[in-house]
Amino acid sequence: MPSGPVAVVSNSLGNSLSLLDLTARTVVGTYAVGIVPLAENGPHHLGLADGAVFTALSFPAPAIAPGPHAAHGSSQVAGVLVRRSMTDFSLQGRATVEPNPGELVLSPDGRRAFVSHYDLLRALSNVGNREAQLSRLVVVDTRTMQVTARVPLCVAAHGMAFAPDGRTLYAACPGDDALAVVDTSRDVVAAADVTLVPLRDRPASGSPTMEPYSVGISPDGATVWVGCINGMSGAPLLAFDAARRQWDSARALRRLGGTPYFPAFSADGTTMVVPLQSRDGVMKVRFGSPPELTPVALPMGACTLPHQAALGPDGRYYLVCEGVHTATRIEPGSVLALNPDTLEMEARYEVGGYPDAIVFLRGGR
Amino acid sequence: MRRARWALALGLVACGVTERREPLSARGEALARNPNAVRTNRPCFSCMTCHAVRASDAPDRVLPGAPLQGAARRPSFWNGETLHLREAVERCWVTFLLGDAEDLSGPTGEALSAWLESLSPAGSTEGTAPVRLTWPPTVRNLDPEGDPAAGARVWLRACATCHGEVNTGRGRLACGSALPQEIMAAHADDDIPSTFPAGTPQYYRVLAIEKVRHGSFLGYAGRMPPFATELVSDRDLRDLLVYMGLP
Repeated sequence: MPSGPVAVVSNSLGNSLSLLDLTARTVVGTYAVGIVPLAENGPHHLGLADGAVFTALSFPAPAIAPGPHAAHGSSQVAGVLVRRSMTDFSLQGRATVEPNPGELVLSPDGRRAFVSHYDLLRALSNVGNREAQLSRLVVVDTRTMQVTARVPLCVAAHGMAFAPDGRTLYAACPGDDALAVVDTSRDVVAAADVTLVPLRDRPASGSPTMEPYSVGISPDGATVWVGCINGMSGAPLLAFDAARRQWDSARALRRLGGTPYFPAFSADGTTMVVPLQSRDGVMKVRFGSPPELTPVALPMGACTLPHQAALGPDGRYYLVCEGVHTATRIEPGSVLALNPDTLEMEARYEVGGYPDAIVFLRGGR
Repeated sequence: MRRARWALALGLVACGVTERREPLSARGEALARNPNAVRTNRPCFSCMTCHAVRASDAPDRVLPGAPLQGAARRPSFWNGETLHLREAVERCWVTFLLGDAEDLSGPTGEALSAWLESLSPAGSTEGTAPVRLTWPPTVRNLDPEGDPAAGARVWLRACATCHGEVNTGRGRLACGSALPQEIMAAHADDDIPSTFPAGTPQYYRVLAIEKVRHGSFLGYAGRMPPFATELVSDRDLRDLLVYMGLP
């Protein structure tokens, strides 16, 4: 393990994690993390705590073309949250969650893992029965790897993020056109702790028009930015006022030139970096009245399908690029290190198939 | 905790605790050869049903598992799907032997570990390289032509130990089906996918291909291990299907 800053990237095609040495700018290695033989295990999002890396395995439906995202959301196979040692990636525990795990976040103290489920199959199989459509938020004790709660959340929940207070969890609800606000302050989270805030007067219940998918929170916790993957005039990035618990339509960012995915923020909260797909690139948003939006093109071929931006321990932004992943063609994804001021590419790491998330070990070992 | 115990077992051996190692290793070998080593009411396989210590130990058989000599010091297992011996053993123990994974955290795991270590002595590189085994994720569209005589030879080397004689199953293991007859009978009442004309052998042919290539994985049931293309080539499989009456 390098002694300096290290990043861990999940490769959702290929059953592995890649370890990046951010100082040497090298890929240290790629490590198998699947548990089910012969299958695409689909490691998606990641968490780090207690010397361990956590990842939710999202298995595709069997007997179809391989690829977790080719079938993402349509599997009947229960996902598994795995805990592996950051020393040698050996398996330390597992917990069965539900089919199609979407996002994984750890509580700030690292003691609980929260897994959302982007369960489109459940949503589409139960049209007319909203209760049956609801995906569940599964809570796991990260030390015992026991499931402590399975809470009905919303239809096909996906991106999640914790507020700086360490108690409030936000979850994007694509199937409901809504944001779920979850109070996690009790040891055992219950349905009563979930508040759904729809974009309109009621949840879309499986007939959404905007499909909120990704979530990012400003460092001060005041604004939850929610990336949508659909919209009448292009997919917007919506603003949610955390204090008032309501959408702030005046601050929504529209006509971005692409579909916004998981954003990152500067430490002082003055700047947001938004990955954009369709016209692959990033948008630099400098907050002000009005906000200043600067599209940044990436070097040709460097980044296919930007998926997540994250602020690294060295102050650079890191951009996870999915790479090509079609039924007939798969090419490695990449991670770009971007200059914090100009967003120019300073380094490029080639990782595995369909990388999905990045987390950082600040000190490394 | 499980990992710690497994590591402890390896540590005891590596530290040269000879008086402990030898009985442990011998017990491990006995367990590896014993189909009743697992606590299940359906014992069938032992480790050695699918593995040999050295490939040269079973020249007349095609074994789905990699040779065990050197395995304890291989960098990866299951064609790179796992980096840890404990996880590799657990896959077999649970899936094929129907054992409890927790067994590998106790004396059983320590004994098996000691035996595998004894097959991988320090200073020897024999068998320590990763073993390439390719299991194609999707069914190949195999040419229906094949040589039944060649298929009979493949059957004897790869299938007969578990399935006995073709069609009758004579001499099979308790968990081995008489192929293809019993499988065709078992699936006769199934809802055959509309992509297969009813009453035709194509469905059973696909079932056979899937079972050979994927065993009990990728949504297929049972406890059969998969056969990689390095062990049973597509040509072998084609011949085998003709021999089984599934052209």
